[in-house]
Order: sequence, then structure tokens, then C-alpha cells
Amino acid sequence: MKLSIEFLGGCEQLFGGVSRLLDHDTPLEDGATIRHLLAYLRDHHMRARPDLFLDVGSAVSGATTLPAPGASTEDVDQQLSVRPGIIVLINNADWELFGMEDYRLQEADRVTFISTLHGG
Amino acid sequence: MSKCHLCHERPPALKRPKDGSFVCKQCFLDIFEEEVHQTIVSNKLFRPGMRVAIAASGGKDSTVLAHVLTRLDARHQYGVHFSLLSIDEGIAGYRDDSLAAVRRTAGLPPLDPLGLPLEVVSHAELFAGWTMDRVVQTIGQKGNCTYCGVFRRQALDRGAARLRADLIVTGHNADDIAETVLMNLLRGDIARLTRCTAIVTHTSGSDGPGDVPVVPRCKPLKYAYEKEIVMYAFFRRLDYVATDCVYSPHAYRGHARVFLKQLETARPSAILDIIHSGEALTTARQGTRLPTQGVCSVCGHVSSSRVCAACQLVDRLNTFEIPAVMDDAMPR
Ligand SMILES: [Zn+2]
Ligand SMILES: [Zn+2]
Repeated sequence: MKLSIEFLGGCEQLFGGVSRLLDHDTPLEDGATIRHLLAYLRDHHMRARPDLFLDVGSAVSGATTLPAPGASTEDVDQQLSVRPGIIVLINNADWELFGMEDYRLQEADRVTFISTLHGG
Repeated sequence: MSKCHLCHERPPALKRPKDGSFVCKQCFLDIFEEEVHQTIVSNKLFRPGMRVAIAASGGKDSTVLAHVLTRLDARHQYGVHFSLLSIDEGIAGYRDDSLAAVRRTAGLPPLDPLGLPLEVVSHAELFAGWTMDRVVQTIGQKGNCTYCGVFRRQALDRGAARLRADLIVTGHNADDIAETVLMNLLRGDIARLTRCTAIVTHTSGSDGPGDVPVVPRCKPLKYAYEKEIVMYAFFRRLDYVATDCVYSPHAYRGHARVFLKQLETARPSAILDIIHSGEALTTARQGTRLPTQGVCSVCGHVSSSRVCAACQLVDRLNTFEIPAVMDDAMPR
């Protein structure tokens, strides 16, 4: 699936200074969600500690269980989200309008990550 | 998908954290600006003829503030004179980029073809050549934020005096203020806790002796969520930098910030709830007196002690003495 991915507001610092992957070929297939995209970005593009970008379940939101050792990638992905304070846009609109991590990606979608945690 | 809750026409682009409503891009930009206008009007922040200095760091908050204020002024004719005021702390590779962004903002003509006048005040010129780079070379990184905070605060006052400003507006947003409430609570700093939610602060008590001119500070974005500020900057394609200060780990504040963002994810109203708690404490403690103000015997700046905090720090730097660490003690 081809996607355009943007890292703004300081997020680019976590991806080796790359702020745009335009019409980027990903190995994601039909039915892939934002969670799959996050796992892909973590494994192939992040140049910093994953916890600066990702959240595997926080105490406050109640998802305290960490994936068991040896759990399949599928299980791990069910825990994945972005760290609170990173805003996600899908085709220039708030991902909260589209089910957030569970949004099903479509060919040529544009996904934008903007950090509110940097600078100020 | 449903339509914008305001115009009932266009597709929504944002879920507002303050009330969960869905709004389209156009309605969001309008309501965001009008809510800042309401904050300005209901708190009587501006009077016609006032000279207002916008403290500009080149970051998202002050960049959005400068744009919103110039747009609102064109729409509502406040009759005030705006200018931009930046502090150069002397941090190579950090402040250079952000000052370049401020210069671009100043020259950007959203409404004023001449752009906004810009005053840059440097630590080096005010504090005997003590740039933050030199401070850190001398005392190391631990405790350097104390110097930066004390110096920057005085530099803002002096810059405002050069601009003959009656008011300094800063870009502090709702998340910043909630974070400061939380920090003061965690430190048990009741005096700051009851002051930090005020929309206008006077460094000197208005009941102080003499006629020491002190420029009040105010926070027009006090009720604006950080998420909306970032979305505003994104939709308007504003030019800002998001570089972190190379010397500021801010460990404790960092924990408070992460905690707050987690709370906000679980329940977005938490931010405004914390601010309202701080405001309620302020009301409950009315009558607390601020220390009386005089002037520093060294530099003549407003000070509650014989020698002001900045001059004391310069003096210590000059003798290479390291003061007690008050890290993170600065209100943001
Ligand atoms: Zn609308
Ligand atoms: Zn002094």
C-alpha cells in the first residue's frame, strides 16, 4: 500500500530528521490499521527510542497489561498507540474522528504525526 | 460521517478537546480566534492606545498568538500597537533557528504590510557578556535553568521598556498552566499555586511603594488547548520551530507533563478542570500580599531585595561560585 507520511512539530527528530515520506511504498496490505503503520514505522524508520513516539498502554488509560513474552506480532500490535501529546491526522483531519488506532488505512492516505511535546 | 456541529455543512476536521464537538476547518479557525477575543474582552486585557509586546520565541504558542492577535485586531479594532519581543539567551544552534523563525513571522504580512516591529534583547548585552553557552561552560549544566529563568524574566522587562510597552502578552496555553498548577501543588508552593492561574500578573504589587514601572504580563491563550494551538498552526500553515533547548532536561516538569497528557487522553476536560481548581484556590486565598518592591542598587531594575536576582547571579558567575540549585523553580 502506498501512503504519504509526515512527521512535524519535532516528531521528525525521532525519524532521523525526515519530515515527509511522500507516496511511500509500505508492505502494509488491505485491512491494515494505524496500529500496523505504527509497528512498521517503529521497525523501519525510527531513529530514536521507541517510547519517545509510541505508547504500549498507560496506567491512566487503564491498559496496564504488557504483551506477554513470545506473544505474536498481532498481539503486540493491539497494544500500540502513539504517546499522549502526539497528534495524528488522517488526510488533514483529526484521527479522533475516524476511530484513532483502529482506522483502516486506504491506498494513498496521508497520515501526519505532530508532536506537542517539543519546543515551546 | 456526520457533519460539522457548527455549520452543519462541511465534514469535520477536528474533535474539540474542551467539549468533544466535531468542527470543520473553517469553523474551527473562526471559533478558536473568537474564543481568544472573548478572553481578551471579558478580562479587559487591552485598552485603546496601549502598546503591547508579544513575547515571541519562534515556537508554536507565541507564533499562533502573534497571528491570532493581528487577525483579531483587524477584525475588532482594539486600537493597540503590537510589536514582537524576543530574547536571545545566547545558545548557539538553538536560539539562532528560533530567532530566524520570529524574523519570518515579523515580516509576514497577514494583515499589516509592514509586518510587526521586532525587538531582540540579548543576555550578553544585559548581563556582562554572560550568554547561556558561557554560563554552562562555567557552572556546568546542573542548575543552569535558574540563570536562564532569572535573566530571561528581566530581559523581557527591559525589552518591553525599550518598546515603551504597557503590556507583555505571552503564549502560555491551557496545558502549560495546568502543568504549572500541578508542579506548584507537587512542590507545595502555595504562594505560586494561588498566583499561577491569574490571566494578568504584575511583577510588582500595585500597592508597592513608589512608582516603579513594571510591565504586567498576560496570557490570552490561557484557555486554549495545546492540541488546538497545534491544529491552528497546521491549518494556517504557520512557520514555527520545535527545537528543544539543548540545556533543559526539566526532568521533574517532564514527568508532570507526561502525566498530564495521559490524563488528557483519558479525559480531555482534565486540563480546564485543573485550571479551575487553581482559580478556586486563588479566590479562597485573596488578601495574600506580595513582597513590597524597590529597585536594585546595582542595575536599578525593580527588585524586592537590595540587589536583584539577576545581579546576584552575575556576581556569583563572576566569582565562579555556584549557587544553590533551584532547578525547575521558574514559572513558565
Ligand atoms: Zn463548520
Ligand atoms: Zn540588578
